Amino acid sequence: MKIAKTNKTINKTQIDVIIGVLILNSAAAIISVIFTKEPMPIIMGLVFGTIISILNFRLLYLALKKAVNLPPHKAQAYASSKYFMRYVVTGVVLFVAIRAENINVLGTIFALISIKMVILKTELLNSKQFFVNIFKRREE
Amino acid sequence: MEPAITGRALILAASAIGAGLAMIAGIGPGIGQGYAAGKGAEGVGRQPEAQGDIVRTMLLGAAVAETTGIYGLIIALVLLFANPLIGLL
Repeated sequence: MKIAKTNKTINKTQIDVIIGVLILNSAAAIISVIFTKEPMPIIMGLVFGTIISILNFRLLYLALKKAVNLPPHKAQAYASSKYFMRYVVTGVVLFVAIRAENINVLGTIFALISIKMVILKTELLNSKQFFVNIFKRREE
Repeated sequence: MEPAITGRALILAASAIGAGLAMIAGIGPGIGQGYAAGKGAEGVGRQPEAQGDIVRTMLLGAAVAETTGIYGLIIALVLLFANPLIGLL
């Protein structure tokens, strides 16, 4: 019962992050349409980067889910090897984005990094208490 | 007399060294993620009912850490395949 509940929490977290990435990148696409003369390469880059970023996030979840059920030393090797596999995928994606004429590399880079901004926004900067704590004096 | 090393060749050589150095940034998250996964496995072994919380925390931490490696990769690939410094010559 409890395991089912925690699985639901993880799935909800993943869906929240993926929706956040989609919203952020859609906003970036709309901004590029408004402010640039040729938005199509940027939008292509954003779409390309968003797909790979979501894929990487999902692969990370599957790798970690399997890793926690392994013995610690095997989990270490497994997580590291999976990381380097995802790293190679990201490298290939960036290489294609740099080489292809109709894909803007800055759009791809933004989409790949947007997942970090979304996680920081949804998990860290989601409560007022966080900002209150920044400005609170220690000695009080 | 033609110079032994042209400016362009020097920039390309320095960019290749820079790209190699930038790739070092990719190693850190790999080691860190492996270490975190090992500790997570230990934690799940000690307290199996907390698996969901452990995986969730690890997932978010690892996703944030992974982007740091991507920064290095971007620098390396830009230096190798879209070098902006050659245009400055």
